[in-house]
Amino acid sequence: MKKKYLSLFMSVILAISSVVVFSGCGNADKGNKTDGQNTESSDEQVTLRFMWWGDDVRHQATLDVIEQYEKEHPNVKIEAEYGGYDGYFEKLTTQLSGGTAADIIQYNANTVSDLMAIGDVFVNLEDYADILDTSDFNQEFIKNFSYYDDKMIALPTGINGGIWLANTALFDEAGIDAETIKTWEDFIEAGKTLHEVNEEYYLFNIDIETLGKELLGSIMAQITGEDLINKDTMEMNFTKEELLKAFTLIHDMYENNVIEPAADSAPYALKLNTNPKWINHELAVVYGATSNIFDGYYDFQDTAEALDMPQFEDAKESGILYVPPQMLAISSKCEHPEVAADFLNYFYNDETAINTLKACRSLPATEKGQQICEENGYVDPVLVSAIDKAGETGTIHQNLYTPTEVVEILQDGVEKIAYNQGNVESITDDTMGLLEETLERLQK
Amino acid sequence: MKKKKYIRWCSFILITVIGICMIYPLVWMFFASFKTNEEINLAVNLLPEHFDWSGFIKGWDSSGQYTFTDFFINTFVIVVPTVLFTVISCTVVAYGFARFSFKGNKLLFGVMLSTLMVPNAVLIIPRYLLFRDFGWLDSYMPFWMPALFACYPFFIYQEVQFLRGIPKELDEAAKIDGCNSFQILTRILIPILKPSMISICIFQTIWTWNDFMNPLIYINSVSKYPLSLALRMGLDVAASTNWNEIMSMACVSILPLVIMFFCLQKYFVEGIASSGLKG
Repeated sequence: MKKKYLSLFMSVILAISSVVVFSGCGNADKGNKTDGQNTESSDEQVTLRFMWWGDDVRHQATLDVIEQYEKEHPNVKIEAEYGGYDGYFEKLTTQLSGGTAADIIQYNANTVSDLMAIGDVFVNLEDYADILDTSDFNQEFIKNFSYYDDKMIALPTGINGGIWLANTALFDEAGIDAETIKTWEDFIEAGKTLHEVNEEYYLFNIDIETLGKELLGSIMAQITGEDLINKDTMEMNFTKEELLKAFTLIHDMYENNVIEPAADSAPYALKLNTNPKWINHELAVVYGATSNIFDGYYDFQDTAEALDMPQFEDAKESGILYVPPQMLAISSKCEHPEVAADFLNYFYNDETAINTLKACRSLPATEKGQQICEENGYVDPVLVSAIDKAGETGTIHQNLYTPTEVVEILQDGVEKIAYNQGNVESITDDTMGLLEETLERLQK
Repeated sequence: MKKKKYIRWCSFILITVIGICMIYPLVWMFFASFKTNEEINLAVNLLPEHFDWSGFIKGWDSSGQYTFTDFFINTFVIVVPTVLFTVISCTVVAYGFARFSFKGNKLLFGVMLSTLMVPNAVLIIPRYLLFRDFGWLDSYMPFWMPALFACYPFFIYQEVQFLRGIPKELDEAAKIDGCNSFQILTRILIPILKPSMISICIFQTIWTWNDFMNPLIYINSVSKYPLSLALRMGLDVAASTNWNEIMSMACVSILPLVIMFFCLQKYFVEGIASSGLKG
């Protein structure tokens, strides 16, 4: 008796749930199935998904551009999928693995090797050369960053240069001539002088994360003239002595109070502009990528200047960052790549679009985009000067393909130095050991 | 007598201090929603200089395309069915494990518990692929369905422990009075189980409400975003964020949880304490 009722109850539950399940399945099949041929002129409805991350300004500008495009092409509907940066990369990799990613995808330029490891996830944009005009782009720039395995997989949304943004008022107060800082030695000397003038002052505003993950690569490029890792063979392009040289430099900067003690600056990691010392004009120079310097990042417009990056005397390369901030690609699962390419063409080349987007994805990488942005003052002139500087001397080796694990190991090493946990040599030894172990695994 | 009073006072003060430490971040968040960015970064005062409500108004409008009204509705549409399904399905499953001896009972219980040990990170991709094949992506099915099929071993375990603490004599008495096994559950056991079920409600509500990773992966359309995604929507790596808007929306979004917690607090403590003691 009791068993009968139990089974009756269970079957009711099952019945209810299966109804819900199947109705769910039905909903998912409504996508466009027909193959689009020459959709430009036909009335066939095309729906594309465009996914990006950003802040509210970027969201609004991009939504406006989508609206403009839809108005001109009534048969095209572009669904915007936007959000913050938190978890974006995890979401993208999951979607690419599952083949469910959006049609037009924004991704971070330095994640390309992780994304391409999933498979052939992006279409070759050269196949759509007659729709998508790339002639206005800085050709050298896209040659460096748009190609992967000889295919043009994405286009840069802008140009991102390393900037050494200085508040010259502090230099004047300490009697330092910013022009004379050429080498790392000069830089450390200037830092000492500044800290002597006022105990509260530090020359260099940088957090361990930026230092270990970005600047260390630049420093190593100066020393070796190579990427950190050879991406084809997964071998280190530096010796222990060379790493020791870079680590010693970082150690000296902390030791001589060139950088604010790590423990004090830690709460403001990756948000250097929120450091009270920075807001109160007690830190003289900040290092970052121009795409991370936004309106309200600093308030000393009159005395702001973009400095040159300090060099080693025998530097093999400048080490200056010169990369795209983000890339836009078309998914290889896209059913209407020609329409997506046409949208990208509008996005990059149309004057109305450029005037709407302004510099919400950094200074554009197209000639026309740069001209419009500079003429209308969409970009901070200090940033433009930094990008120009980076463009002239930008380093060839930008470390875009360094495996995440390697970056983490180096970052850990830098952190130990910053917190003064052991002497530099033993930290270098440990780091080298870990790197060798990891790379051996990656080589397989 | 005097000594007892002294100890009472000491423990009272200690608890108050700990309580203040725990609540301080929330209080700070509330007052931060009236502050300007500069005040948030620099000022040490808890109270803002001016009570400026514009953060709430602008924050509610979000980026313009969708407002927090939509996000609140979405969150409720996810959370309410998920919690109801979880409570019903987990109770039924726990009843089965606790009161029926069938072949493989122990083995199945062990298997169920072992799924607790599988780290979530391992499951993300396979589960995503499964839900993709079901066609559930960009819908709330990935939240409702696991709840309907009792995919929460932690809650099942909790209820099994609770049920084991209830004397079997009660069931037997009910059986003599003519209850069938389903009636035993609904008429005899569920009233006793109430505290445990309410603590499941609270846990599941809080977890689903705050869940970031699952909505992030399964939901694509901004129109379907729940609060947890909406709050981070305008947060780029580096961008001029109006923190007061985010703080004010964070305050508003935890409000329902806080109210619910205080209303059900009595049962909550009971549910955890008794299931733990008797298990």
